[in-house]
Amino acid sequence: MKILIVEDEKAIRESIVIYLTDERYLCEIAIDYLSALDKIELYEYDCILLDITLPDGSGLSLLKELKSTNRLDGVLIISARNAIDDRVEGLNLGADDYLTKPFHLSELSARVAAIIRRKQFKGNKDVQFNEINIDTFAKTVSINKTPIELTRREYDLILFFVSNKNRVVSKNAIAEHLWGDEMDAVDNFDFIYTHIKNLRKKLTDVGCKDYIHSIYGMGYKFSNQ
Amino acid sequence: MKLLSKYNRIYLTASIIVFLITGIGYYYVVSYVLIDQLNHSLKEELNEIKTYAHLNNALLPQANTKNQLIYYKPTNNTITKAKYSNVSEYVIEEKEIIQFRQLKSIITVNGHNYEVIIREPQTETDDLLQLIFFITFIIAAFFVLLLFIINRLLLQKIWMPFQYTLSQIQRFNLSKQNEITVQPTDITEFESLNNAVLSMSGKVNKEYHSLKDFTENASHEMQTPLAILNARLDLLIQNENISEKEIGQLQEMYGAVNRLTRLNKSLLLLTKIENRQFSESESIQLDQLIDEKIIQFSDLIKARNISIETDIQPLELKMNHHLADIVINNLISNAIHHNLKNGSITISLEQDELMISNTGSEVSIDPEKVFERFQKSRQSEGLGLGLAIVKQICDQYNFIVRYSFVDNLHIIRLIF
Repeated sequence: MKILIVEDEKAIRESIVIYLTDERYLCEIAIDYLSALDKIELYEYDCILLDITLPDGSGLSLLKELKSTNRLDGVLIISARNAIDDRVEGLNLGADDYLTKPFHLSELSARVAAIIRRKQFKGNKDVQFNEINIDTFAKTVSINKTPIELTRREYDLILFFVSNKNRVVSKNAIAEHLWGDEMDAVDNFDFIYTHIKNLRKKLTDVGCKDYIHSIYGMGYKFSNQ
Repeated sequence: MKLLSKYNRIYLTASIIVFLITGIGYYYVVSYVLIDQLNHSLKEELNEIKTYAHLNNALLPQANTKNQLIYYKPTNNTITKAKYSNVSEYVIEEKEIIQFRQLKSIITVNGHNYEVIIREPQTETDDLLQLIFFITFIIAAFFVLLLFIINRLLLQKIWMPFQYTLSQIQRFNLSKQNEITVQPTDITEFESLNNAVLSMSGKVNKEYHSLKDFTENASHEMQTPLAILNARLDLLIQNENISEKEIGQLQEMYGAVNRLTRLNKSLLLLTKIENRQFSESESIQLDQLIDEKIIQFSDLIKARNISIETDIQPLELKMNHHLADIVINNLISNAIHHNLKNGSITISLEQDELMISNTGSEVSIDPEKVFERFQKSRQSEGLGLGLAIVKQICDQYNFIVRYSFVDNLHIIRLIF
């Protein structure tokens, strides 16, 4: 999977590259409007992470350029401006999703995975992790073909974990993913524990291995080890 | 007192004094002229008597009429100086006392001195004077009335540009961004007032906007370093060799970044509301929105074992959806956060009022100040911006929002 990261801020760019490369994505970078334009004219990407405010132009015009040539590359806008107008304009221009800075890398990774699923497999691609199968179209989960009944939050949680497998995901990131950034993340820390406890029980009840590892004080890691 | 009334009062007093003085002056002048005319006529008569006496050596026969009376009286007095005076006498025919003008003189006929008294009634003169005075009074009254009306109409018209400018200044509201307009006028004073007002409001607006732009830009600029911190923290926690102590520190840093992010977003939101960036409105089913929010907060409500009582009537409001969401979100969030364990929340929605009350301990803030920015009680972990944002939104829609603390209940009322 090839991803283009258009971002002028070095530290953010680097962090994204490190995180996504570990997810086995092939990351390319563009640090400004012109180099981004060069790249998208030459290559196709599964997903393009697009910063709107670039030193020499707007990410939105890059998006227009892309869409005018009927390209199918998925586009995730990452912007410091969370103005609703920008969001609406970006999505109207054909962006697949919109993420406001600051964001968690785990959130970014989950969104990129969702975009690629939607784009490449028209949403029908099941997400598979060992014995766990997630049908993202029907929003159902089955373990070794045995369907299990999950609440919406539990479903969101397991998909988020699988999208960030083998990674430590902070409680803050989980809280923001499940409840949105309008609510104070700290309020919801206790509920994360409850939801995870329930999810873990539902999974192990049908013979699924316990992949959810608690990292003391920090968050959780979903992995086979 | 209004300028017009004050002006009218001074003007009327001055007019009345002037008319009184001129009226009295006029009266004296006219009466002087008329008396002079009577004197003249009396003197002519005397001359006639004198001429007759000189030619005929006899007194002119008395031919007393209503308009002229002549009396002769022998006298030893020899002073010949004619003497005018006013006398009153009861006239039987007229049955009233009549004022006469009389001329007394001495003439000599055949060596005898006679005192001649000629009288002419002043009735006509008096009548005439009265008429003149009456007419003058009528004219004066009419004149004053006319001027009063003209002034009223004219002054109102002349002051119109001023009144208009004044109403514009009164309506002027920085956050509502209404520009001041003025009416063109050819009156120099008003024109310079208009120019001064225009230039002042322009300057104020410009300053205000640059301040707002600054806040907005500063908030946006802060997002990037926050994003760097967040991303670096996300990478740091992947390290498997972190000690428990370090994890605690990292969690604190997450907390700080999170807090700063929310603070920044709230400030940006306030600025945007002030800048009227949420002007589009749509029909909002407030009752549905409240129900949705209660569900959204249900985890938190359950965890604190708070009971919720609702009495919600359907209500549709014309509002920006995002802003309506924020108002309800902040109010319910507050009712949960400033509640007691096992406490309760009551929400009632009627046609013109939303009331949210919750149990809670008394806060250390002045109830008048709860809607000000960064006003929060010592025990609160919030940002102190939630109610400021609610107030700002209510101001935009001219809703009234009130807070009170009665019987250990925090009560927020929104009156639409």
